[in-house]
Parts: sequence; C-alpha cells; structure tokens
Amino acid sequence: MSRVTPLVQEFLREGRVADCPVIDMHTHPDRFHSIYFPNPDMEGILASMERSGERLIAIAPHAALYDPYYGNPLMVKMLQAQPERFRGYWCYNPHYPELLEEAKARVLDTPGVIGYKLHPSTHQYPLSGDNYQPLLQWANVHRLMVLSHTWAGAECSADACRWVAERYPELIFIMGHSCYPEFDKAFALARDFPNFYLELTACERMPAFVDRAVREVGAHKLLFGTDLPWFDPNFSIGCVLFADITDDDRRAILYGNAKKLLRL
Amino acid sequence: MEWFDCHAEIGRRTVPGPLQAPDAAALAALYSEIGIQRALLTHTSMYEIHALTGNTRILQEVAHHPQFSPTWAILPPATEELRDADHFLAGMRKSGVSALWAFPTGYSLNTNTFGSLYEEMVARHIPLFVKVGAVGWAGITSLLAEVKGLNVVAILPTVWGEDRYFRPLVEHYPGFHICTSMYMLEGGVKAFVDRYGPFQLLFGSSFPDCQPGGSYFSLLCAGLKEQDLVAIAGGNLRHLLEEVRL
Repeated sequence: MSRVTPLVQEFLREGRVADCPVIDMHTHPDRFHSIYFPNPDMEGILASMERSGERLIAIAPHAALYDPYYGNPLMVKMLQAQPERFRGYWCYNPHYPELLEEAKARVLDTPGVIGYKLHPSTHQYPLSGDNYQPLLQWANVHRLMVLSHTWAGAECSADACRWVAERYPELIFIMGHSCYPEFDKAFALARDFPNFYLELTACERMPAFVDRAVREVGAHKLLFGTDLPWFDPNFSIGCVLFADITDDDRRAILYGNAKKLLRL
Repeated sequence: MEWFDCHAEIGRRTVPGPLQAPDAAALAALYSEIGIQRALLTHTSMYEIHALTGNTRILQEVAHHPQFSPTWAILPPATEELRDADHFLAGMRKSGVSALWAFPTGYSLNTNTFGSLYEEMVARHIPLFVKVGAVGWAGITSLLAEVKGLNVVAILPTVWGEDRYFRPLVEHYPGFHICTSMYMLEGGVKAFVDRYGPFQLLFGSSFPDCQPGGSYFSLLCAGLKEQDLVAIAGGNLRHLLEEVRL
C-alpha cells in the first residue's frame, strides 16, 4: 500500500484539504519563560492556524497553568475574541482549591469552554491527590472533558491515569502526550476505557507511533494536538500523513474524532 | 525540487525500533514512497559495533543505490584504529565519502584529540556531523570556537525549541548548520530564514529516530520563498558536499 494516497496527495499539493480541516485539541497560546516562540500571541497563533489549515484549536494559555487568577480570564478573553476558531479549557491548579467552585461553574456557563486542563507535573501534584478529587468527581458526574498532561513520573504516569479511569470512567479523559513514553500502557488505557483518548503532541514524531497507536487502539481513539506554539502543526500533520494507515484513519485523527467530541 | 536528507541511518540496532531500515534497499523503498530522492547515510554499526565496521558496511550498502551517499565515522588518530589522516583521507577519496560523523562515546572532540584531522577537514571543507545530545551545547560551542572554519552539522538534541542555544552559534560561525529533523518549533524555520537566510539549515529526517514525514511536510508548508525551500530541501547539502576537496 502506498502512503501517498489521494488524501496525502491533496495535502502535499494544497497544504490542506477542504473536507478534512484540522482540529487541534492541545494548545497553549502565549509566551513561556524557557522557550523562544516566534509567534506566541493571538495574531501569530491565527497565522499558524492559517498556514496549517487548522480550523479550530482548544486552548489553555500558559499563564493559566501557573496563575489561574490571571490566566483563566485571559483564556476567556481569547475565546471571546475568536469564538469561531477557539475553544477553551479551564485550568485547575490544585494549589488554589478556593477556586474549585468557580471552576465548576465556569465550565458549565462560559461559552466556548469545553472542559478542564490539568497539569500535574507543573503543579507537582498527583492526579490521585485530594485536591483533584472534587473536580474529577464533578467532571465525572457531568461527563466533562479533561485534558491532562500525562507523562512518565509520579504525578501523571499511565498508572496514575488508570487510577483515575477506574474511579471516574464517565469523564472524557484526554491523555495529553499519550503518557509519553509509556505508550504501551497508554494504548491499554485507551483500549480498556471507552472515554480515554490518546493525544498526539510530541509523540507523533516518534518512530511509527501513529502507526502503532492505530493498530493497537484504533484511529477513533486518537486526537490531534500540537502544544501550539511549541510545535509546528504541519510537522505533526506530516507525521500523520506519512504514517502507514488509511485515509479514513487520517481523517479521523486530524478532524473527525475531535469534531464528534466537540459536537460540531 | 530535490529532497536530499542529510541524516538517515540504516542497519539493525541491538534494540530494534519500529521504523528501522536494515539495509539501503529498505530505506530506498520507503523514501521512494515519501518522495525523498537522496540521502546522506550512516550505518548503525558505526557507533554500535565499531567505526571501521560501519565505515565498511555503509560502502557495501550504498554500492547499488546511487541516490545514497555514504558518510564515515571518525576515531581519535592517536589510537591509529583508522590509521593516519593521509590514509583515512585517501580512503575517503577512493570511496566517495564526503562527510564525516563523530559519535563521541569514549572520546573527546577537542583539538588535542582531533587537531590533525580537523586541520585537514577545514582545508578540504569536509563537514562534521554530530548529535548535540552527545556533547551538549557547551561541547558544540567549544568545537566551533577551537576549530575555526570547520563545517559542523548539528542534530538537535530535543524538539523543545533550542533556538536560544543555537542562534548565537549561527551568528558567530558561518560553517555551523542545523539539521531540521528535530526543529519542530512552530514558525521556527521561517523566523530563522527571515533573520539569517536559508543557508545554515539542512533538511534531515533523523530516520529511524523520527517519523520522516514530519520534517518533510513541515518544510514544505513553512511559507518559505521557493528558492529558500529549494536550498534547505537539498541545495545547501549538495553545495556543502560539492565544496569538499579530497
């Protein structure tokens, strides 16, 4: 089977495909202290989306990962400025539990907010920690989306994700970075729990990662993401395009799965 | 436009990865599908077994694949494993090898170790490829500072934006080049080209450690002027190798 299928040919020719726009479920607009980004602001993010044919991105600005008092309102402002292009994650920092009730309410009543963003590594706080539980319970009851940074290590390893899955099977849990590099465990989670999804940021470039994930789990459990402005969406799109998978798989990963989850 | 990959590896690794190409034929088949016309190759044996073994095997592998160009691995001249510089360079000339690789496990890249070889490399414009992860940015900086005029091609150690490390080196050393295989930074290539021009970037895949389609599609869609894209995709590497005088 040739990898340069009709869909891939069209991407190569046009740089995008009209009936397969891209939805990016993992982005962090704004500056970041330890990395130079050429285009971190709103204008740059929109230009990047234009270059890569991204129709919609789900955002959690860097600032919101650190200072929720400052960062979440910034996220809402961005949503208000770009309601057609952005959806937002409400960032919950477990070191500020006084913001729990606001976090519960805002996800339900703020237009464009689709769920929560957790970053247990940055927050140095395990997914199983006490302060996360009320939020996870809430998300579970309301079947809300939770994008968590997942990575080998104490706070948000694949084992920690399984701990969450066994207690909160109704929430829609997006494993950001697919538990890098514990991919076999991440595949098992996505197989075992219908609401647990693999997200591709940073692992898509790993050798044959996309091929393996599709083979092990099925394309319907993969969500496209880039950490934009960290990574060029076209780099990630190229990894999906040239994986040894079918055009239906590519369409599901780049667009269809997110479209379904976001009820577009 | 010709795509000329500056960094791809063939061979069987001790611990095989999911993408490895055991031989040149396997890589040729894959690259033919993707649309990469040429590649500068290393062989796994160069660093997993011995430089001499890998240097021999890579020649055997590329013999029937003219789209692939061989590289050789270096070792410190003092141990005479590769005999003296004259003999080594004569072998390069005879075998059509125009680029060298350092895999510095068990040796240093300083001028005490490679001074005599570096002199020849500078005089003959022979580029040296090295993974930054093997020596760190401090090691690359020392190498460039100590060996004026050496053409160095760096494979980035991570995909997490390294511009703050390598841009100062790009500004100071015209012979310093970046392989694009791990340059995933959003807008990075375009911003680089806008500031420095295209000539210090070389398209590379780092196959089999990276999915080759990423770097390829990213460059294709980077919003570069046609001539800049042509240069990075293959022209710069071709020019670099054409400059070599053996």
